[in-house]
Amino acid sequence: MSGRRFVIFLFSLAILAVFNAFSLWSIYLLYADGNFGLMVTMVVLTLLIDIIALNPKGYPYRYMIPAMILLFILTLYPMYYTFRTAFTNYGTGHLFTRQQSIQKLLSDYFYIPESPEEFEFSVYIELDNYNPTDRFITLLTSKDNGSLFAAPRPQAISRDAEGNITLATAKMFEVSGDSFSIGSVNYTLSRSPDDRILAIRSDSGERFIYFYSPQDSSTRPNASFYFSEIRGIWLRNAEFTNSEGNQVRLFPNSLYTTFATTERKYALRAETTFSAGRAVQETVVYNRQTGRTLVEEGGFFYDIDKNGNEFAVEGYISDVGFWNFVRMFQDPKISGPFFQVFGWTFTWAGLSVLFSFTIGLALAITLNDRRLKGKKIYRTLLIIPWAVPAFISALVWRNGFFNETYGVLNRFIVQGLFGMEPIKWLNDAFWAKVSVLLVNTWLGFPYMMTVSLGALQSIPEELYEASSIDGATKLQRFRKITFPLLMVTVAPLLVGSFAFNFNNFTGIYLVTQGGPAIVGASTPAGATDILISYTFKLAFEGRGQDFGFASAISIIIFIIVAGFSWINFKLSGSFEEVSR
Amino acid sequence: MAVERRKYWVRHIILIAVVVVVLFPMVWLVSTSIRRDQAAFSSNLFSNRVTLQHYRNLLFPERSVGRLILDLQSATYATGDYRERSQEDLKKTVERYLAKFDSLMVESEVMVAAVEGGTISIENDLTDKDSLIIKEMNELRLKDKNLFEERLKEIGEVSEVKTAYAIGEILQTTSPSLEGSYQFYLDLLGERAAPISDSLERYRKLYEEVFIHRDETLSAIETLEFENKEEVINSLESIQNYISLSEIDYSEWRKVEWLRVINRYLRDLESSMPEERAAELNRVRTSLYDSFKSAGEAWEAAAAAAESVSEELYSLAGEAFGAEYYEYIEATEKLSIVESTIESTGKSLAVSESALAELEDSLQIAMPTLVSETRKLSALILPLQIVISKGIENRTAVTEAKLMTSLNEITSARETINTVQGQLSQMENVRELSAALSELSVEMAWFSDNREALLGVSGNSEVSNGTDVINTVLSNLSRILPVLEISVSEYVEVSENTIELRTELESLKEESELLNEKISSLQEEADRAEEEYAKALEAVNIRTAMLSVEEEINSLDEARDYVLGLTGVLNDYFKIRSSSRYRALTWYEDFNRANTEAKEGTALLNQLISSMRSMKDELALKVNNYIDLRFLGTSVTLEDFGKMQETYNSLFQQVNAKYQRASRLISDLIEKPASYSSSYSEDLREIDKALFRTNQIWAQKESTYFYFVRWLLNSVIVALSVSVISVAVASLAAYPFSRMRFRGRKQGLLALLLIQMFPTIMFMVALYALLQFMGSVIPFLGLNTLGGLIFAYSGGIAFNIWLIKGYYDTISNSLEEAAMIDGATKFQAFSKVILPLARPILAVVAILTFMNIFNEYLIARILLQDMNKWTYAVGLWQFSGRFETSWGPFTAAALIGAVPMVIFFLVLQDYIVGGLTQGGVKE
Repeated sequence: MSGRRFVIFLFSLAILAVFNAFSLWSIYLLYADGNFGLMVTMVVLTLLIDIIALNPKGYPYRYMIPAMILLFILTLYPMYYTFRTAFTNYGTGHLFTRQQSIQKLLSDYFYIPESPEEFEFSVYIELDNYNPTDRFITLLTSKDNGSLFAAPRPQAISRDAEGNITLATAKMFEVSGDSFSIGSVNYTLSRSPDDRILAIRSDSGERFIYFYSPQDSSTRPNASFYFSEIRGIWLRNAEFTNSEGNQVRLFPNSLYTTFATTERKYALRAETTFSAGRAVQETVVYNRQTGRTLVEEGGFFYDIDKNGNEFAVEGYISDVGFWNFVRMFQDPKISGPFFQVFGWTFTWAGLSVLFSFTIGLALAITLNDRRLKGKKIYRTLLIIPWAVPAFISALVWRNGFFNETYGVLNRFIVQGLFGMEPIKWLNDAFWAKVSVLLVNTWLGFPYMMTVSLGALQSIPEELYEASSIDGATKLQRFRKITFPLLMVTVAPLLVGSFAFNFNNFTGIYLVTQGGPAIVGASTPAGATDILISYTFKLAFEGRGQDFGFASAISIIIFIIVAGFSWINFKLSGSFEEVSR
Repeated sequence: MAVERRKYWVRHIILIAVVVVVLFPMVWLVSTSIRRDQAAFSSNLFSNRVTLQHYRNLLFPERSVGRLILDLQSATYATGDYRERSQEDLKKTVERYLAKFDSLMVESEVMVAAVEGGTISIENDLTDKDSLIIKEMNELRLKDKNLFEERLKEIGEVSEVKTAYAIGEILQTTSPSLEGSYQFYLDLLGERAAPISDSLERYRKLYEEVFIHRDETLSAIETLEFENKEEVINSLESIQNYISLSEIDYSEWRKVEWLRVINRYLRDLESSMPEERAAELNRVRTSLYDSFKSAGEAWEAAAAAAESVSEELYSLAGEAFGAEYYEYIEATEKLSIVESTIESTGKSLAVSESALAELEDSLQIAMPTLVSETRKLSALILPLQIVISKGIENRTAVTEAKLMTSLNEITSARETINTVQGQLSQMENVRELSAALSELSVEMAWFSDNREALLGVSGNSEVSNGTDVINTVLSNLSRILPVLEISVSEYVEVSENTIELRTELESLKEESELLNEKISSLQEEADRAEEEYAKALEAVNIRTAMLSVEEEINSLDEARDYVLGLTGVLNDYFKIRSSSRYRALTWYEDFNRANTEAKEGTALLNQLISSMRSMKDELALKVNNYIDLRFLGTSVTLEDFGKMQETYNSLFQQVNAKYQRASRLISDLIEKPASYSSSYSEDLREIDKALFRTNQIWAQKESTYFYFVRWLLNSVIVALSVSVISVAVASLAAYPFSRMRFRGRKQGLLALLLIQMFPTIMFMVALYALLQFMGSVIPFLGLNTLGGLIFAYSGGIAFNIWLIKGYYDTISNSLEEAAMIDGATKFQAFSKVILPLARPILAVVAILTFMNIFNEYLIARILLQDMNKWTYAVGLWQFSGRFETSWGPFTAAALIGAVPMVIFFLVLQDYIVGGLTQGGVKE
């Protein structure tokens, strides 16, 4: 082993070590996070890479390591995830795991006890170059006994999608003898001669100046800053824990001008139940206000109100087996639209291929003549619809051409040329289907033209010469020579195009958004929806998200498309290429 | 050879037609993106008012006044996009904005000057074009004459009767007149119009008399001095406002002029004058009044005559177009009457039906009480009767006998009620119920009247208990009985009415059917007659129009009247639009209108500029202090912004409306010139530009414009990074698949194929969660970051591996072997030999990936939230939709993205086609 090689070897080892460290760390984090799917993916990936890197026989695989990382994390894991989701009720109302839901029940629900301990409060702010900052301390004065507490700025525990804090917590520290300490830092209150607290000073030299209190009208000019920067961000969902372990929050009954103790609504307790004649100890969630145990059913926790009615509090993801697949066939409100969508998907893909291929082939035959001048120019011009990004074309067609009142088609062709009533391009089920097919044919024929042109050029000229000697007519020549030979090359491409259109989300969604809606459907299905756009709508749009059902449809789409591709490979002989 | 060539021609024509149809959307896209008039759906595909402004707005966005005010406000309060900025930075920004504000004001003034200068120079030049316009109009007049004559010749002779009938129709909608076409109609009618002509003649005499008496009165008071002289003279002189050769308004004149002024003051005057002279004045005054009054009467007589004549003419239908036509008209008229009766009858039927339903409803509600209460009664009756028959102490004849009969009556009433309840849909039952109810209430009344007596008389406890129960029943019943009685009687009435209406409706329908039959049997004949009638009418109208064609046009006013008079005829019978035929005149008029709009707009704009300036100056003085205050924790809301906003909104809206109208007119003036206007087109273009620029300076601009370049940049960054990563990773991974044999090779290749078939829609849920997790560990790879997006996109390499592997297969092994003999390692052979040779496919893969990523918007839409992090595709989606697409910006934005992609594609088409058809998948 030469020196250079040795260095490279060491370098590789170092990289491997770093990679392992990183992935172990992320595995640990994922474990803590409860994301077991991704964790397992990472474990498998790490093991594979280590084996490949350390095993001398793994040389060919080493080239694939970067690709493997990307494919495992970004493709295989999402695929696994989709499969997994298809067997759960994941969706609106069931967004968290059971454990997370219980955690939410325990931490997010409050009730105000009959006689809460109220605290008046004032905010002390640190200044930066005499400008107020959002570093502050809250002083709370108990209304019951006048004892004084201090709370540092709470720490954000959770945030919503826009980054707003949904929960921030801090501890309350009792102030005794005008001083208190948070952690290792000591703070002292500075009072004025008339015994008002002016500022809070810390050992480390920080100074918090009296800034705002809802009870003190002299601080009103500072209210806007308080509301936008302090309460609006930090105190709105702040939760201080007092020495007794009670939660203190802004008190709605005083219009948020005081803090008050609140009680957690739900807690855990052990309960003995009898099943199959045996007593079983179980941990259950119960309502502390009413003392009733929450009922668990169908992925929901139900609480019981005063009238004895059950109402859902939190839902969680639970396994539902094949329910999502069964639903497609059993529930008439779902299966009706589903089969309509299913049928239209095939019709749409089939007609798209048929129309674009017919037009493309006709143009190819017209262009396929060596003596035709300007052939290249025609071809280039006709290829433009293919070259324009499809989403732009779709938007242009939808907005500019299909608009009912001022769209180009209605204004100039339907009304202007034929003097007919305007056509409801996008709001009538039939015409919406015509619209999407029109756009897709426009988008698709250049491809068909190009491939047909290529295939036509590869047909040997001698065949035609021979046939014309035999006295074949033009039609005969086309039927007996051109078409069969053309299909040998083009057929797999047609199947491929069918598979592509089967999943052509852009062609549908950007033109009609799947609409108009199917009447009476309990899912957001539209007359022009194909499976893929239906899946998208189920998962990300409308009345509620239903990831489980959407995943189930994804799998069905996969099976169908894979089937077509298998036919395609048989036709094009790709399998031989693989095993070569 | 000739045959061959012809065939090519056909081919070329077909191909060109196909190209035109196929590329039409693209042409529309281009033309819309460069037009200034916002008329995306105009029938003129290309506007001559071309502008690159939309592109400029997107690529080099400029803050307009409207935008500046908003941004100044946000910057001063440090809200929105300015939230995180430092104090110094904000001050600088505000200063910059204020400077921009100043420069916009200056530019506005320049534009205003340009508009004014242009209009004035045209205006001055136009003053001596009058004679030219008149001359041209006279030429057109002669042309019109020819046109009309020819048409008349075409129509041919129209019989007098037909003409008369047509005029009859016209007279119905035209009021009598001593002037113009009305007289012409009368002339055409000749003898038939005698009654109208006679009374009009009488009117003419009285009309002249009115003016004679007016003048007499004027001269009578000329020498007199009195308080309201001037007012009286004015009033007398204004008399022609109330009377003319074609109109008179007697009652208005009497009310406004006569009673309030003339009569009132002159009468006073007379009383204070010597008797003789007063008599003279009195005479002229009364004769003025009398003549006016009789003129009014004569006018009414003329109108009445016209009506009767037109009626008479109407009856000519038979004579003119055949008896069947007359019948047809009669029948249609009758039908329309019958139909309106059907409609009104139907409406009243619906009303009574709904009333009936309501009554039924109330009966349904009341009946249960009635039935149960009467049942109580009937249960009591027998026991009472038994007691009574046994005899009661203190009996009095009256009560006992009466009690018995009452009870009997109640029983029978109850029985009736019992039998009819539930069968109220039959009229008889309702009537019986009504009778029973009234009986019941009479008996009830007896009970309640004699209650005391009954109680007093009967010593028997059973009787008194019974009467007690009866009393409660009574009070219960008394609550519903009156209501019920009224309801029932109304019910009877209403349902009778309903039945009547129904039969009426039936007969009406029959009648209308008959009429319809008759009409359809006559239809054919009628159609022919209608056609003839239309011709007759056309002839009359054209002949009327000929009157004005004969007269020379001498002034612009006359020309205007001329155009006004002919517009209808030209449009109806020749499909000629007068605005384009008489362009010489209408151009002039349109210019004047545009000029007025522009002037009014300019006046308002000047006002707006000056007030905006002063407000801005005031703001500039203090704005820094308020920024300081804001940073000291005390945000103060400045009223200045509100005021600026308000002024801007109220004034600019008006300016804009006027300028837009002017601009539209001016574009029309440019597009449809008159014979003399060519020398102005330069000026007009300048004005148009200035108007457009003014709009750009002031109009509120979409905030999206300011992000557009950012979006493009984001897209390029993301697409470039992904294509680099993708090519690097895929070129490495493809190598062993092509060159080495190892376990799992076949399965791996198949897996790669399968993987890309999986629908990626649901991947987004997983990717979202994945990026959320990654973002918590490595911030720049999280959600809402470009890094995260690049990472998410990098997963789509399976197809690329296949493409590259296919290309490697075509490279001969011998080159590598040679290199390895020379001592290269396997990796060196790959990187030094194979990679350089595979450059073409690597380029294609890179470009394809670039294009795919550039066009992808779904994942980007879900992963990116902040507007300034969006990619081009997500942003473009925002341009369309929301409420109404603004076409200029949308199309320009679409083209900015599409053109580079199209060029890429066309240049590389052979590579792309080759590469893709191998894979057999269209992307």
